[in-house]
Amino acid sequence: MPDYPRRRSAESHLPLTIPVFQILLSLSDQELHGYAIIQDIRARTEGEVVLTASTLYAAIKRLLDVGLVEEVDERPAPDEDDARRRYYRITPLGLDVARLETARLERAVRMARQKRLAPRMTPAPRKS
Amino acid sequence: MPEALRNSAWLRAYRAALHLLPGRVRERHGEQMAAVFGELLREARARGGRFGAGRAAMAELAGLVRFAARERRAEPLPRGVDERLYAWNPPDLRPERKPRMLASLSQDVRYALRTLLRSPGFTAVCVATMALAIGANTAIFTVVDAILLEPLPFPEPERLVLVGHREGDPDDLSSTTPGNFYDLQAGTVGRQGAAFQSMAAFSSMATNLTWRGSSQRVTGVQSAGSLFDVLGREALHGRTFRGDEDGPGAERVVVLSHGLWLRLFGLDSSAVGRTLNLGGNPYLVLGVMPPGFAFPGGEAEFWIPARFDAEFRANRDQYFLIAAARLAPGVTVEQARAQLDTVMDRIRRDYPQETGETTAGVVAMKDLLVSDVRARLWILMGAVLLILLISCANLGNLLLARAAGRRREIALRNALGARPARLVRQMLTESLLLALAGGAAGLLLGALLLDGLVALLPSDLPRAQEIGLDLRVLAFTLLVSLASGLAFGLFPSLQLSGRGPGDALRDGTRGSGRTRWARTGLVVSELALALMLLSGAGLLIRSFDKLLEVDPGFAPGRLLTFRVGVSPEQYDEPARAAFFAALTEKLRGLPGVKNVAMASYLPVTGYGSGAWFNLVDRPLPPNETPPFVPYRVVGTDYLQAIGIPLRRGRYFNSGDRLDGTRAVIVSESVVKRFWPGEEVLGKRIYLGTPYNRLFPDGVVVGVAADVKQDGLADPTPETVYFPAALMPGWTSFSFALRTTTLDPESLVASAREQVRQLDRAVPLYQVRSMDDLLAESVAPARSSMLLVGLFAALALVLAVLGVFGVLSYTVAQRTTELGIRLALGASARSVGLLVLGQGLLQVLAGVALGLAGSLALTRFLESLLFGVTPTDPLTFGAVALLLVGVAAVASWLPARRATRVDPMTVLRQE
Repeated sequence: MPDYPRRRSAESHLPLTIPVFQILLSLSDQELHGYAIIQDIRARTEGEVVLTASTLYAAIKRLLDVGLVEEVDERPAPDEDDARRRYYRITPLGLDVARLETARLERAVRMARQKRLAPRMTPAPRKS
Repeated sequence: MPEALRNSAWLRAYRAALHLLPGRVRERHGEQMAAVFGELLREARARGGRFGAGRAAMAELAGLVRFAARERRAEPLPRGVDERLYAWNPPDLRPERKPRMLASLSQDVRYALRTLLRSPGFTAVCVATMALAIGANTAIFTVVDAILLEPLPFPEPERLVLVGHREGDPDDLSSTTPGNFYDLQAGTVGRQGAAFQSMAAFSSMATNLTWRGSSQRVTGVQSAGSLFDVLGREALHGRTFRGDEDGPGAERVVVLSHGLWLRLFGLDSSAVGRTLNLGGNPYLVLGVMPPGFAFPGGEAEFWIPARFDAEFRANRDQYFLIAAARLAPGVTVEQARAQLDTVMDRIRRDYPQETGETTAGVVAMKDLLVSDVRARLWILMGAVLLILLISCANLGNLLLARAAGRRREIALRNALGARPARLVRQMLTESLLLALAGGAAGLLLGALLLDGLVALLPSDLPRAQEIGLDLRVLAFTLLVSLASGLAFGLFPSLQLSGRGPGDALRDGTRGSGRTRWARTGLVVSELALALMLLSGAGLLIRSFDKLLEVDPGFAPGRLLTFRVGVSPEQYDEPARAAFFAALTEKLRGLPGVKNVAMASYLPVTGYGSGAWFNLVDRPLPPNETPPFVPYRVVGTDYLQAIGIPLRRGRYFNSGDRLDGTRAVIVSESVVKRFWPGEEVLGKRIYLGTPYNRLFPDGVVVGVAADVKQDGLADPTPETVYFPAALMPGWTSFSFALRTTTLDPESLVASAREQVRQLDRAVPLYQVRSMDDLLAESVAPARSSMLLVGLFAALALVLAVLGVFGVLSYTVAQRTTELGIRLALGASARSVGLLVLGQGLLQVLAGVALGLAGSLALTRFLESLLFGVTPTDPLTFGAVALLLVGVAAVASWLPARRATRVDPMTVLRQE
């Protein structure tokens, strides 16, 4: 991993924007190129979050700048590879940040439940 | 990626839009973004067809633009700093960088525009005032630039000079003879160390042009040597003639002006090679000059080689040539003059009798061409600049008043930490916008007014064909607008932004003392400047008036004038005399004609010929040159017909011929000069040189009253009259018909018919009534008077508006104080007088300052004045009274409003 002159703490990055969080989620368990990230997010959120190319790369640029994500040096097997595609992977810092954000969101949902704002966990009644 | 998609226009657009990103970002992520865009587009097209793809593409492009904007707004990094260092600094922790200059300037402009558009009336008044002043300046500058500032339209025009003889005035040149010219040319051109590269002599001439059966009189130039070589201009069609095509046996060729070519041949370029009839001889058309070529002035329509024979080339008593020359590279006018002097010394030594004391002179060509109008034009420029100053003062006042109304806003911003420099900049932006808007409108106005202006100027304006709007005029207008904006904007903005916040946040009624003094000062200056313009106009008006009172020396009413000339080749001497005698008779017989006056030149035109005047009984020593006296060749009844009174002796009669009495009549000033206190009748004289006399000895038979042969303002020259019978070779004469009708010009057609009956090929030209001739002679004075008068009136209006504005404002400001005064028992009259007094004080101060300024500046008018001194007390007094009177009236209205203040209303407001 590249050696950065100064490290910011993981907490200082919170809260994350939705696109950033989703990108970290996508990269948390695999290395993906840009278009794949968009597809992955769209599938996972069932179309709720659809990124444009600019949103994606704006986020990726910031993630790269602050070291939460890095570009992959190794390329996949030649027949799967498109020379233009750059692959990204999450860094340990990025993982930390993603975990911290998840915990924050959980706390938020718990607080909402205590106030009886959370949606019911029981399934919706079927139409007869 | 499928071919179709790769070529998709959307993709191309996206790739182009990627350039909106900063370079680093584009290099790093651009390709991927394009690739992703392509995939997303393909998806969208598969899902939603063309429309789906279009929607998706638009969304992507919009997102890209936003991304690019965000990236660009982020502060640019200073050079040499590692980006990774800064990557660790979140944006809010990065050091403060100054906002870019351009961003805050556009902010100022937008704010200023909003402010100005919020008060449209005020803005309109300001822009209109500026437009008027700048428009006038633009129009006058266009003329000044074209005539005085622009170099002549020839290659290397600064090397062009005119050579002739020095008269008295070092800047004036008089003509030379062929003999002197060829000697001067030989001594100063062509050899090693010569002062001039080329030299040619020229003189204006007029002749009859016959083409396709009709005749007209045309003015042109005959040139000894090649004028075109000196000037350096090529023909548009065909060619010009060279210096070696000027021999006596050379073919007769002519070069036409563009205008003449147009008139005769339309746009037919095959005119070159055709033959025209000039003065009875066939001339081959050698070439046509381009439009805009005019030498020596706009009236020259043709150029021919002079073709002097050997005898005439040695002539030293016909003074009619001026030489145009081009200085050799590196030679100055002084060096040329020295060389000419050397050659002239030699000529004087060799030909003492003919040359006498004449010296050579050389003047820069442009200087001589424009010398007549230079003073007039600069005075107009000065007048119009004064108007601009007055307008600026007016606007300064307006802005001060308006800004005073924004005192609280400004003070608040001051208190909140706005830097004074920024405030000044904002207010300056406003005034610059006003000035630029006024300048743009003024440029349009100036362009519209230009034709009217040129029409008001004398018709013989040199280089008039070169007048037109060009880049220099645009630059001038821009400069003047900017300078004006700064002038009237800086002053008020500095005044106001410099005050402390406490002053204005408190609700003051009078306004700061400094502002009041500023406004008063501006008004007083306006009044002073207006007075200076009014003095100038007043002097010119009185001068013109005096000019009109001048007695021309003859009776100018109901005279129709025209000229008739025959070609010397077609008429020998007896035929000429017969022609003119017959014409005189025919004209006399016309109904409506009381008498016919015939003369070589009419009075007041400034044209004439002269010769050396010799007294038979008082011959001069051999080295002395006789005095040069104007003469007129006249018909027998000339003096009676034109109304010149006879002081002594008799008029001419039919017995006065070469073989009878060779009678001459002299004017009073001739008697005063040559025979003071003596009996003049019977004295014998001759004109010309002893061996080349105009005619054998003549005898003085009468003394005529002096006549203004030149302009009305010019000194009266001496004149010698003799009958045409004594000089039968004269080829053209002016005629003046004394008519019975009030409209002399109604007889033109019949007069023309009489000439045509004698010879169809002889044209009648220069037809004008004598009243028109007189009007033409005073046209320059009239135009100056009208223009300066117009400017003075404008200045008066502006200055008075300034007075009115300041006083109204003061009254409005002092309403409370005045109300209290009234409440405390002061009479309405005393309050009114208080305000009136303040106004009058300003006016008197302005008048005093203006008088001082006028006394200093009006001496520049001296060359334009006639019969009036530049410090004429009557004019100054009248003008001062006018200004005081008008300003007093302007002060009366606000004063009256002051008396109407209702003390109760005022007290209640307190």
